[in-house]
Amino acid sequence: MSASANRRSLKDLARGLAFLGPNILGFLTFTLLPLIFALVLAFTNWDLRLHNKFKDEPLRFVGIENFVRLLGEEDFWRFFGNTLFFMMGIPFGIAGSLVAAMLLSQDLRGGGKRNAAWIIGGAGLIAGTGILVMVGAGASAMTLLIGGLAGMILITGAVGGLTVYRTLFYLPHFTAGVATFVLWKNLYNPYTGPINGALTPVLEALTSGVNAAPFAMQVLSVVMFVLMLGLLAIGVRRLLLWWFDGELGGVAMAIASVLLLLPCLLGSLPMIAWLPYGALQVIALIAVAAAVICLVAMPLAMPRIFRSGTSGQGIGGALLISAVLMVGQFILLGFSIVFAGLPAAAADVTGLEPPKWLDNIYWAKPALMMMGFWAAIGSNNMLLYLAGLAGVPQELYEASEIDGAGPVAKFWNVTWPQLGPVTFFIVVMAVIHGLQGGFEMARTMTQGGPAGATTTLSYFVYLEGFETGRLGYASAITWTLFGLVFVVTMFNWKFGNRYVND
Amino acid sequence: MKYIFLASFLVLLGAGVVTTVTEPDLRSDVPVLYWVTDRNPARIAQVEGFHDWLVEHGHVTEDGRPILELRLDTASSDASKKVIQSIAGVAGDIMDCDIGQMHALGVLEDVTDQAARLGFGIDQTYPALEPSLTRDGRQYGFPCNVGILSMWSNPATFAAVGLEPPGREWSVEEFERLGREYVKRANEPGERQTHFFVNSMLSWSGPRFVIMLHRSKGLSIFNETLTAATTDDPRYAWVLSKCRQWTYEDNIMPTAAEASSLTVQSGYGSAEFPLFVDGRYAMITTGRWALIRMREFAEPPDIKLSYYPVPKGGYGNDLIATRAAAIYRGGRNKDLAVLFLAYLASESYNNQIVADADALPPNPVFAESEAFDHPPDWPNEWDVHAPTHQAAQERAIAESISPYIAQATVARLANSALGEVMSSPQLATPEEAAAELQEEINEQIAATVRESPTLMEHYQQAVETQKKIDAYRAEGKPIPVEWIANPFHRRYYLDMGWATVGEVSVGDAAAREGSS
Repeated sequence: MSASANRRSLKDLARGLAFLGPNILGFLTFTLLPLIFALVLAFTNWDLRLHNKFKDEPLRFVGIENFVRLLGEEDFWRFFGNTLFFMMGIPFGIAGSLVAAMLLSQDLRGGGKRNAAWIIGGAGLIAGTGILVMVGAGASAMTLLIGGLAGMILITGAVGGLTVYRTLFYLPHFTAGVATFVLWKNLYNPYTGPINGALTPVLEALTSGVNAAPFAMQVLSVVMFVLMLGLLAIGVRRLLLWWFDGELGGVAMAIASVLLLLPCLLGSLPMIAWLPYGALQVIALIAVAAAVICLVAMPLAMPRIFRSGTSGQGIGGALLISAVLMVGQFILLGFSIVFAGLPAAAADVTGLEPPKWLDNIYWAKPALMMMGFWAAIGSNNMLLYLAGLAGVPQELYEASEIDGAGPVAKFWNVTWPQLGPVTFFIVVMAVIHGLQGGFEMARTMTQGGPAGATTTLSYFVYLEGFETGRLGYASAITWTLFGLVFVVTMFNWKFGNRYVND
Repeated sequence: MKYIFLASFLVLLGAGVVTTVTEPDLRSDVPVLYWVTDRNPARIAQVEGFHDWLVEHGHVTEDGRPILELRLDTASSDASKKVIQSIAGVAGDIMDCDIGQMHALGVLEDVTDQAARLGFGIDQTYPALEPSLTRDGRQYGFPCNVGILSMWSNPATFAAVGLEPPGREWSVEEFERLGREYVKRANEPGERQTHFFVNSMLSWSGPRFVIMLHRSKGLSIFNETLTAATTDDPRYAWVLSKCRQWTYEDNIMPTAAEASSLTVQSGYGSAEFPLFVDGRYAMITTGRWALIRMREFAEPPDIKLSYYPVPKGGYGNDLIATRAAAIYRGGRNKDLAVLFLAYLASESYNNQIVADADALPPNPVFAESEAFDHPPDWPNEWDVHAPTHQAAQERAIAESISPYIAQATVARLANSALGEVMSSPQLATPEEAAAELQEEINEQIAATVRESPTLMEHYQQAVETQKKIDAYRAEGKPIPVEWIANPFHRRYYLDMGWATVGEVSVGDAAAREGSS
């Protein structure tokens, strides 16, 4: 290479560094150095009250003491549980954003007649809202606002088409977080919020219905329980298939079976003593427990029968499917318990009442989870799915149509597999955000209450760092959180990728 | 492209230069000091008053202008912001703060000597505030104003439902009876409840109400030496159960959701004032500072205000608190900043507080005037001023704050215990919540002292003293009052005749009605 070429190359390098320099400097100063600093901090006893420029207390390195203390602290596990509870909404948020993306990839402007119908419908909704206001029949300002807004959306949607709807669906994502939290706080107001405004007449009717036929609720409770067992059966079937194919080791099979049985055990043990819940569930539980115990015992006791022996082979996939099914099982179990308890609640003098949402220790978490679900539908996930859907080759749909596939078959056999990489990315990111999230909601809406019910790990970090002043301990929590995120992401990467590549 | 980048760089550079040149600090030829305080509109007049005071007292430049310029910083009034800024060395020169919390950080200037020189010593304010302003006998601030929590009523609200307001001294039992009767008469049967006897237990005043209630039973949240929590006690459980009963069974207080459904917050202070003025609450738990808002709503004599102490379970006590100003130890103009504390003790400032009704004036002397007791423009308030001042003088006790745990943590844990009991009796009984609270606070204390050899030494000495106190109490011997660090116990023991000052046992139990 000639001298002039060298000079030119150096000049290019210098120019490139000059452009990159500010960014690299910013990254080093505001990201990397604080990160390293926080890591060092996690192994010290730094307490703002004791160690600062105005105090002469010596700072001590305490090794892993902060981490040991953290793992033994009841609050940590409680707040970790809260975080996991909120994360149970992730699959639904992802499903919601997929549905939204599929709807928004349809051509909604079907011609003059449909547009006219939408405009008439929207105008009718607005007029109806106005009449309610005039006759004084509006339940609350918020209800009226929502009614009017829905009318406006229909009309503008008819005029602007998909662009309007895509913008509206994406609105939660670029609306300031605090503003949406304040909005939801008002929506959840037990006395003036539109949610309870809408629930009250429904619950009044339900009270009459339940009082008239309490047995129906018992039946529904059993149905939910059976559906939960159905999920268990699906999981067990899948595990058995893998096991027989030699893809799953005995230990992995045993662990996954225990996990699948866990919701049944946790949910049903207290219920055994609760007779109205029904003896049927107890019998079913015992039968399934016996079957799964056999499933657990068999691979461990007879390792030579199957090719994979007692190894932990395939444990990643088994844990993944168990975790997903567990979420569904817990939700169905929750419904089962609610239906079982409805007759007693309806027989009460006050009848069925709408929840107190954020003020109730049992409802605060689901309330925030539902809000998260709303935000997740219109998030970046929806945009990613929109992009993913645009990339599905049309010839695959045409081929499936030639094979006689209906809409459902086309979705399961074409759309869903083609969206695998997008879904995988979304799942990984959603799990990371789920573990890190919850701070803004807790700070703005509930201050972590009632009684710590909505305190997540990220809010716990804030409390320890800036309320109590233990920066070392708070750093240990953040690094523990990082460890969790890292392990879960690696797990997703290693085992989730398999389905993407398949 | 490179020209665009170059142009952008030059524009930014120019903007930086313009900002630097026009920065407010640089445009003043006297030192600029910042006062970190709340957004009360009265602060503007107080700053102007300070500048006038500087001139009157000769703190001027050669051309007769004030030797400093004080500016407000209301954006940094959040407690965590003050902590971070102090630690980082960039806090405001003067801060309204919790002296206990900020002193624990070591960021406050000891002003004892300047206080003696400039006349803003502890003797210039309410004696009960001493624990809130001093640590280890040294002074770290001076009150901007002084708060006494009390209950106010509008007699017209009672008259509207045919009830007589309570007597000036009333018990918890009378509070319950009257409350039940009021909500029964004020609300339509079968309709959603819109009228309550008193504001929510989960509002800002709730935790303070709780403190006065358990103190009225002779119980503090901490022991005598502030080394351990003492909430695992039937008296604390009684308070928690009462809070639930009043809110969810008697419905004399609204739940937080009920309160928020009745109002929309606006302006300075609590959102509950409009509801009280509107007659939704028969009484309101508040302080004299509430008058700043009340005067915006009330057209005298439409709403007449009456003062009542918070109902007591036995031992009469009031909770005194202060928004104290302190000097930042890392400030560049500490010598000038102390002048502001001197101003807080001055006649002009105190008279301004009297006129604005921004709680009680820091110097009690200025509350002993006709202008304080009977402001001519506000005859409807004449029944609240003097009793508030009297309560602050006679039976007020400061909050018990332990140096071994952050007060914000104590408040959070106590609120959590209250929240547990209020949320669901199945979640935790009052007894369980009280026991859990004690355990959690004691764990936090242990964690704090473990980290600091200095604090540990102090703590161990205090624990030894506590053992001696316990032994004396077991033997029925009076305890030397200097052993007691907890301001509530100090006062309570003296009143009960359980403590001695020097060699003399002092008992003033007779002065307290219903002492147990």
